[in-house]
Amino acid sequence: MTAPALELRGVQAAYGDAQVLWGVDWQVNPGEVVAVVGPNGAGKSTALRVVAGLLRPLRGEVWFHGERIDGLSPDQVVERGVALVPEGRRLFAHMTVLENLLLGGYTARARSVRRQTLREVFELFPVLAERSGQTAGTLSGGQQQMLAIARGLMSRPRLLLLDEPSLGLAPVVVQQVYEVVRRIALQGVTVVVVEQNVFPVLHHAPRGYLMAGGRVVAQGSAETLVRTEVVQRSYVGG
Amino acid sequence: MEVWLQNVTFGALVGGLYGLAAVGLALVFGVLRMLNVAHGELIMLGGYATFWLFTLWGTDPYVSLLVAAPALFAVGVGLYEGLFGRLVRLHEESKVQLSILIGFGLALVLHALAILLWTADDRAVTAEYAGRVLRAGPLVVPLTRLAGLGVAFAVLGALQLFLQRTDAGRAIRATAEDWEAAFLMGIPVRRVYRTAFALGSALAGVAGSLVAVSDAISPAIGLSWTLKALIVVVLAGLGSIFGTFVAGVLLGVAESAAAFALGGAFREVVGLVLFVAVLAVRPQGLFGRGL
Amino acid sequence: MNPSVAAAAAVALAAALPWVAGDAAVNWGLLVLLQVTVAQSWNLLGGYGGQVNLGHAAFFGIGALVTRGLWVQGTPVVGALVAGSAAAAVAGLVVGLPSLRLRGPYFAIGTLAMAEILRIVVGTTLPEVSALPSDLITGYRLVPRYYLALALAVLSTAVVWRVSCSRFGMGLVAIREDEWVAETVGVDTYRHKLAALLLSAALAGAAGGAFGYYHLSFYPQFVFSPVWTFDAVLMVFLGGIGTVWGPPVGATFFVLLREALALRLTELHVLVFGAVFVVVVLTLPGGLVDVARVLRAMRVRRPQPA
Ligand SMILES: Nc1ncnc2c1ncn2[C@@H]1O[C@H](COP(=O)(O)OP(=O)(O)O)[C@@H](O)[C@H]1O
Ligand SMILES: [Mg+2]
Repeated sequence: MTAPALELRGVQAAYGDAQVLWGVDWQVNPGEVVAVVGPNGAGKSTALRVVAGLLRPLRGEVWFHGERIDGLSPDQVVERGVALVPEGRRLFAHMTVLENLLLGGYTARARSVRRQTLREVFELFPVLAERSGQTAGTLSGGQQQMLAIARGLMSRPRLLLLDEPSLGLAPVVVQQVYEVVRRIALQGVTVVVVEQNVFPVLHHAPRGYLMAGGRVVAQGSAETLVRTEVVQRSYVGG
Repeated sequence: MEVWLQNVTFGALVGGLYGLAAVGLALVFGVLRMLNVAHGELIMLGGYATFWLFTLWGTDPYVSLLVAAPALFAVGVGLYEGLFGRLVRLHEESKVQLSILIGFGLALVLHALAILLWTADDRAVTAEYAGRVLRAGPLVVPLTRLAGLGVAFAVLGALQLFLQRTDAGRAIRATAEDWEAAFLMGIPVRRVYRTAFALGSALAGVAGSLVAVSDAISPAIGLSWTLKALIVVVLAGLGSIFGTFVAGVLLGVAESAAAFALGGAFREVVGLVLFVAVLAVRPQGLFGRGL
Repeated sequence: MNPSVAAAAAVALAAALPWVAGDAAVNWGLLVLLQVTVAQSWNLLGGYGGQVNLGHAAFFGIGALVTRGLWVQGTPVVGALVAGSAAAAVAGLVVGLPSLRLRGPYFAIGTLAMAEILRIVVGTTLPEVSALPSDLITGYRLVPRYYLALALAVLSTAVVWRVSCSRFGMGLVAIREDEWVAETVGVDTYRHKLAALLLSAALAGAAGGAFGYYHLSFYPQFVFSPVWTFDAVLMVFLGGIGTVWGPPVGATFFVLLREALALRLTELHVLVFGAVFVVVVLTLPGGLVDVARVLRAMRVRRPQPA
């Protein structure tokens, strides 16, 4: 049996004294598209930060294709083939589109094939090719999200982590973003998508986790998550 | 009128050096968010490197740049590993403050060390072309100052190209803009910090070499160079290398005008006046921007 | 031991010193007490308000020159001291008004620049040694100067203690922890910082005044030396920054160590204490008073023998 693409085992994490994750378990198989949903403050972004190496877990383990990666620095994690497209995109706003993309392909592994990757990325996002000389901060919201994803792809990841890619985008644009995600997945890249609620991911991720209060509270098919989410909300009274 | 023109010219020539002195400081602040107030002492060390190379082996001061820069680069690596690099994990505000305090202690230590090693005397590199001047109409331009300006301009141009056109340069700019995002690109941020710090030190070394030819050096010059660099950075912000150069020239001209009009003691006061004036005019501050 | 009992004991001991000890010890004690005031004054703004002052020597120096000038011309020493202290506070306003408005390193830069400029200007305009006139030398007695230093040390520590348990002090600490948050919860950060700076500068000026009253002869430039600032920072960090008792502990330890090492040469002094400073900042951010606390905590936690 092949090892999972990504596995979190009992991950606990904290910012200073404030513990935020209380034992998170995920298992994502190679080539899957998995959704992680949950209300604001559930710990979704924190879990992604742990995977990316930006935050050391207090306890627990993170495995990537059979290799333990908690404890590695973020650049080492990227080198292994994990790309995080962070919440809020975090583009280099004062730099051009092209410079952002070149930075995305910074690691030695990615740099050796950077031209090729750039061509592929421009095929996937023709608008970025048109605007490659423009400063990233001047793009529209949808274009910025596309650039953020494209920049992540420049590292030639095996696992792509997307944190709230639909945030602040018009519904039509959200559809375009998810169309891109589908095409990326078709190329064999494993994808974990974090969203606040299930609806944007409903038709794109067959399976997912529902998080609340720093724990996984439910998992299963998208439909299961929808039901659980509704029940949860009625409990919270939201 | 001609005297004024002469003074302004002189100020502009010195000012190019101020720009060079400031760029290293701005680079370190922009990337690491640390203020190294021992920057002037690194300039002083660069000056001594050139002075001793000239005195012991007769090395031409413009050739000794090629030694002073890498030597100070190495010093920068050491200072980063031993001192400043230990602060990178702290949160923003204590990082700035502790870096300032450590830099202050370091400045005094380097000053004291230089006195113990090389005495407190003024030293200057007296190459055979040291006294030569160029005449352009009524203007008299000392050759070494003109060469200093030229070297400063060339070094800053090279730095600009490096930051804009190379992967390592882009990584430095990316880290300055958003270090977390830089990490997510696979950029080894800690190594970038070290490189940026060492590069800032190397730039101080180059500035120091030029100071040793066109001015005198002594262990005490550090603080006043730090202040000039700081004031230039406050004037120019962290926006652009070219802006820093221009601000340096501005300070140089203002200083020499004030010294001429009001007396030599006012040369140093001008910087503080400019500093206060900038804070009054642009109270949003100039330190906050990316590189 | 209760800290206030310890403090009272320390003051009583210090007050008794001239009765039981010779001139050398009194002189040594005076230096400690003077440094307590210098350290406390830096601590008030730097330790509580989190504002890095790199030009503390300027306040000390202004206080020293003004006080000495007036006193030598016949003003009673207390009046001269108050004037010196006020002059230092005014200098504080000059640099603080523009630079404390902003967050970031502006205040550090402004104070550094002010001190250096004053040092240069004083050095060029007053190049001669400031020596006491012979009539003042013949009447010179150490003990009143010692008690003046003691009074200032007690005063400055009392001020810091009073501030530390006031609303004003809480505002300062909030600014130190996070200026933006402090502002959003309604602290007028600019006025807090300015007020702390005024107090700090006035106390430093008074310490300088006491020095000007105490010292027989010095170059006017000497009291503006950045080493005064450095010593203040060092003592504060050594003892414990942002605490009431850290600076006195730091000052005592510092003067003791300096005398023990007999570092007469300024360069060696700076070299040794520069190294001490870096080690303290990097490895013992809470200072010596924190060592005591950590040890106490460890003792309490140890299980009691049955
Ligand atoms: N940098 C931080 N420092 C301190 N607490 C944080 C930080 N980032 C997030 N938190 C806290 O951690 C919890 C989880 O946050 P996050 O992982 O961002 O949740 P989500 O992405 O699910 O909305 C929240 O309570 C948030 O306030
Ligand atoms: Mg989030």
